[in-house]
Amino acid sequence: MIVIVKLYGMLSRKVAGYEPDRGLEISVSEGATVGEVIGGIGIGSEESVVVVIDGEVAGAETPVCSGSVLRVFQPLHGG
Amino acid sequence: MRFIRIDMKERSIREDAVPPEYQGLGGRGLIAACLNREVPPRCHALGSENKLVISPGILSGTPFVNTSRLSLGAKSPLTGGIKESNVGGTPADLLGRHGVQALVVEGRPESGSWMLLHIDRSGQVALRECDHLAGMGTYETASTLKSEYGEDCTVLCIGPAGERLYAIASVQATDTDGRPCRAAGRGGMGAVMGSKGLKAVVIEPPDEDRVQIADPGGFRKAVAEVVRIIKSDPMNSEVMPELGTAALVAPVNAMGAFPCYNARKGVFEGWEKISGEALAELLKKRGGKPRHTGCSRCIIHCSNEFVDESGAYVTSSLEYETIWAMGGMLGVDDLDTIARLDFMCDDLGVDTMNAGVGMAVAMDSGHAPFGDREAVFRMMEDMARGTGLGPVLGAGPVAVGRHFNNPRVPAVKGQSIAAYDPRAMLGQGVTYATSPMGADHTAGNMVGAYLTNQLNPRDKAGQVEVSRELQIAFAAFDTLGLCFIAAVSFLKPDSCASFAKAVGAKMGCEFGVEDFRQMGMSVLRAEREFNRRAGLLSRDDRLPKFFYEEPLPPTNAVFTLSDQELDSVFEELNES
Repeated sequence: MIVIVKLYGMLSRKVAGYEPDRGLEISVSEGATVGEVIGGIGIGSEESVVVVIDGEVAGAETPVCSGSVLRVFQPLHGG
Repeated sequence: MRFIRIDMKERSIREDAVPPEYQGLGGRGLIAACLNREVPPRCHALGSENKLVISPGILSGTPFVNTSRLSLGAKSPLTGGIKESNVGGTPADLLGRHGVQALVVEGRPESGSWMLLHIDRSGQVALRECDHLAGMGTYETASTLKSEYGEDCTVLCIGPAGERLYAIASVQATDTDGRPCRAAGRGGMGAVMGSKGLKAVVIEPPDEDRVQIADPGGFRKAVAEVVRIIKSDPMNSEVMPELGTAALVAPVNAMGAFPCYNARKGVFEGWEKISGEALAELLKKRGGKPRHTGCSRCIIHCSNEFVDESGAYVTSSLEYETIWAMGGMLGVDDLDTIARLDFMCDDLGVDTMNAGVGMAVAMDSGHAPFGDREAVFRMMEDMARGTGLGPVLGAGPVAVGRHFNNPRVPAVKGQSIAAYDPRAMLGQGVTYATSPMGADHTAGNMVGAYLTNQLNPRDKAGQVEVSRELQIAFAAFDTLGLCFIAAVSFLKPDSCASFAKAVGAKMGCEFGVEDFRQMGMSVLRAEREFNRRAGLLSRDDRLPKFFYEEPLPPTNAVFTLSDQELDSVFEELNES
């Protein structure tokens, strides 16, 4: 199945050829988790980023579904 | 240290020894102590009994990085309680180097000329008439004063909004480029300054530094460690220099917590057009500066300089909270419009947040459709001229709600919320409700707890505790003069211990993490005591009703913490 990964902050600069409008289309197997998706795209470990799916902050063990959009951020504090 | 009292009625200046009860204090902590002792809490905020206290942080003026925060405090015309509003730029550093602990502006002239306070290179302080500045915007005020006193001087001033005594008036400070674009925006400190007949403070760089460091060797060593900690924090070494605080637009929208259209929705349709990523891209294309040094001694560079299509300066710095207040709240999805509005706010001398939320309440009441840019510019011009709806907007969002009989006013204790909806970030609601400052974005900002996976933003568990600890920590940071952005690198016990060591070296005493916490608690205790005596009680530590009742799309969250839970935030303060 396919999931979409969108990168924010400085993460987008860590993936060569990344296009912000499209994000990354990634093929994963059924039952794949957030941690597995993030681990496979070369932006660091899932501990060093925050993933939001459908408005919810997702943990590394959260399963992804076909068509899920994973929005990935670096940890930030308010200003 | 120098403790300088300025009597605006008598037009006299008196320099006292630092009163014993204010020894070792600065910034927000000094303001809390001074107002409690010297200002009747039930006085009129714009009357002769109120005092405007201007105080650099304890570390300001030293080589300690990112300590250029200047606190301005008084009884607030907006909240009716105590207020400390701090600002970056260059004044705190210069005042610290002049050895000034506080400028206490007292009294109220019955009539007469506008005055400015001048601190020259030798440290001499004088009041001077400045009627030629009356009615000027802050940009023209600053450039006029620089031509009179030297390009290297720093200016702290009010604009027409402060002269009109608008309750949302700011005090603007010049940045490292000499532009008055840094704002002590919250709580109407500009109106208090205006009520004293004080248009500006001009500070020349001192001939000789008078800053005192008790243990210079220990201080140098501790500061080196502090620099290492800031530089090793990815937020401060990577994200802030490249995207600034606007980096928050994306994650807060992704979490459905970006209050837009007067807090009717939690995701703004046009957010990708006004995000930090879009801002950085636009500025790069136009030759603007996505990375800019706004404040003295800054090593983070989270500021930016926004330029138009021809590369001409529009404003600095376009920050997250302003992008929200002038963008999402008003339904405006283009950065050029938001940047022009930011400039207008700085020049007029009003807080972008209270101004934006006031206009959003007006639009929500049917005054104009959301997204109507021309209507927004008309409201801004009305504020500048004092015509039409302008004076109502200048009185703050609650006054706007009252004018339109609209109870949907996202404000606490009269002050607007910031760019985080308390329904989708429960702990932020705890801070808004319980901070002695009214709804505030720096008093105990919770978004970091969510974006570091420390807490679930919509689960009640842990929200009270984290809000409390952040409020305590930032009361101490605001006393010491450290900027918010750098401060978040010192929230963990080990990094806080390194920070505290530097504080101890400056002050010449043992100072540890527990001392830091005690400092924050004593500041909050004094602030809450002032508010209690001013008549602000636990019933005022509440959010507006609609946050409890009206679900926020798309998460459909409501604020769920009970009154008892809110009252528990500061139980520890009451007991100790």
